[in-house]
Amino acid sequence: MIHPYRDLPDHCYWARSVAHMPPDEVDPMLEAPFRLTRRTPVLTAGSCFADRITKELDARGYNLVMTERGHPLLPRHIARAHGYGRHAARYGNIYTARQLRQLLERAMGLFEPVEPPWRLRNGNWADPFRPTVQPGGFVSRHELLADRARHLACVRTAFGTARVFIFTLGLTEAWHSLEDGAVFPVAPGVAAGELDKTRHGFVDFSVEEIAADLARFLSLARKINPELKVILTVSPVPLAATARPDRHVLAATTLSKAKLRLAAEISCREQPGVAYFPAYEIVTGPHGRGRHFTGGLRDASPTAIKRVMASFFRHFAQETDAPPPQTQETPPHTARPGDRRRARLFAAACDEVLNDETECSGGKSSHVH
Amino acid sequence: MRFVFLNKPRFQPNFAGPGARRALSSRLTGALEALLAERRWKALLLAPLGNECLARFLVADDPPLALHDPSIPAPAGAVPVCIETLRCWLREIAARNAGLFLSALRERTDLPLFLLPPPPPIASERTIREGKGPLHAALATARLNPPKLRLAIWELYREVLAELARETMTTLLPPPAATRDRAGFLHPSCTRGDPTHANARYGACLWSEILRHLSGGHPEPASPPRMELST
Repeated sequence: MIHPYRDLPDHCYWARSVAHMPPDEVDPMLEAPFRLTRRTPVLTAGSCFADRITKELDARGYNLVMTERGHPLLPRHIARAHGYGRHAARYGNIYTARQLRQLLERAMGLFEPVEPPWRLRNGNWADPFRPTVQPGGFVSRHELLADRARHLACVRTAFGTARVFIFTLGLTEAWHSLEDGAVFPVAPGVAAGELDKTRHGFVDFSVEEIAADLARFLSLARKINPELKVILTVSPVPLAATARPDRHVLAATTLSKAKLRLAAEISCREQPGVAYFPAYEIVTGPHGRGRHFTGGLRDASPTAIKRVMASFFRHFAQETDAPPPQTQETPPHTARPGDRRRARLFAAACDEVLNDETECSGGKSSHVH
Repeated sequence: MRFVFLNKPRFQPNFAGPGARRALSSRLTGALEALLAERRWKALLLAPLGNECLARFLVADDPPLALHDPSIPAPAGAVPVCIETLRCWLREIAARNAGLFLSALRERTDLPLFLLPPPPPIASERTIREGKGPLHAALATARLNPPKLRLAIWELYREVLAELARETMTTLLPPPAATRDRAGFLHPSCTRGDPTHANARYGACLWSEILRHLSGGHPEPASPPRMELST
């Protein structure tokens, strides 16, 4: 008897490609449309999960674009703590597609949000669009604005330099300015400033809005850099909190991830040079058998990261540029020389976790990024 | 006033552990404890490693360091550092310079502690270059950091020392007004031909200030017994 589910490749069947596969061999990535070498200038951004990818690329000697560096004399751990070296520029975590689009629009001089700097409790100032990137804040509005101008110039240079941009979509929920729609990475009042309901509002982006933001971002990025290729991922990290009291955080998480996944699919389908890498599926798939999240059930475990990166390099790394065998076989988070230092350096601030004060204070879990 | 060399007869090392993980050596803490055991001190006055910070920011690096401060012109190619980032850096420097001594002393005594910041920077590039100290040869051709930048860093370092002083119940004695010019630099009459040290006149001004503090705001006619630590 002939039916459409006969004679398909193994990866089309759950039993053959997931249920009865050793977990290390479950690999939902099929074929990458392009590859990168260690010389390819790679730019990364996104939610805190993007830090994990950046860290692995760095550990394997990939050519990460870094345009906004701290002064070379700054001790490295201080530079990292102040947002230097985590990504190409000091933009901190970029959780939403709107935030990404807005960053590039600002860097290109196409949008200047009206939101004024936010006050910190110590009297200093925070940049509403990267409120945690400068611990202790900026000592004056002038310092904030001067640093922002340099930062945006570095962002523009970064997008002009990169050949591959890896972006991790993190959230659909955000807080924005009711005056001009500018979105913030964290709600006013969480890390700095104060929530003013006459000027700030909550937004939960739809699939269409996310896809449109990605399309707008891509059209702008390719004005600067027509050759830019993009790898989209969806962060497997659940929401720390939802701002919607009518929704359970778990339901809000699945809805958020579903929207992001769908928007990424639309972008891949409609935009040339855009690939989707299924890190989300590798981490959250049932083949993880509970081993893919650590104690707080939000952070991807070293095992999960190892599987994600193995798949990433298997598909996106140029074959002739494969990592040395010992690097492939050694879990990135075991005791390789220098790992502890790298782990400390990359201990990135996840702004979103600030939404749950109990988690921030260590009340519920030991959050490891 | 009694000036005490803790490491006399000379011994090394004064410190154990490298760089950022510097700690007082056991011989040095032993010498401190021996002195405190004499129980005849009225107060302790410290001026630890202050010029290390002055010297660190005397010469421009490559690329030069700058602040986001319109009153301090940044040289071409300068990399700006935000004040709070710089403060973190200076806190680390202060912790291993002054903090080690203050903590070690405060753990061992309830005596009043006084801390002297390093003297303000010298404005005149010529004075700095003509100085005969150990940096003389290196300074002959080096590009110096702008005076206002050096002053801003010194002010910040003083704030950081004040934080340390508060944490260890220590009194920070800022340089008296007479030792500074109108802009806040070391007064030309207080230089001694050395890029990071002041002269005896500076010391005399400080001495008056110390006496005023020890006498509760009024200069004290006689020298009280007290100890100054030097390594």
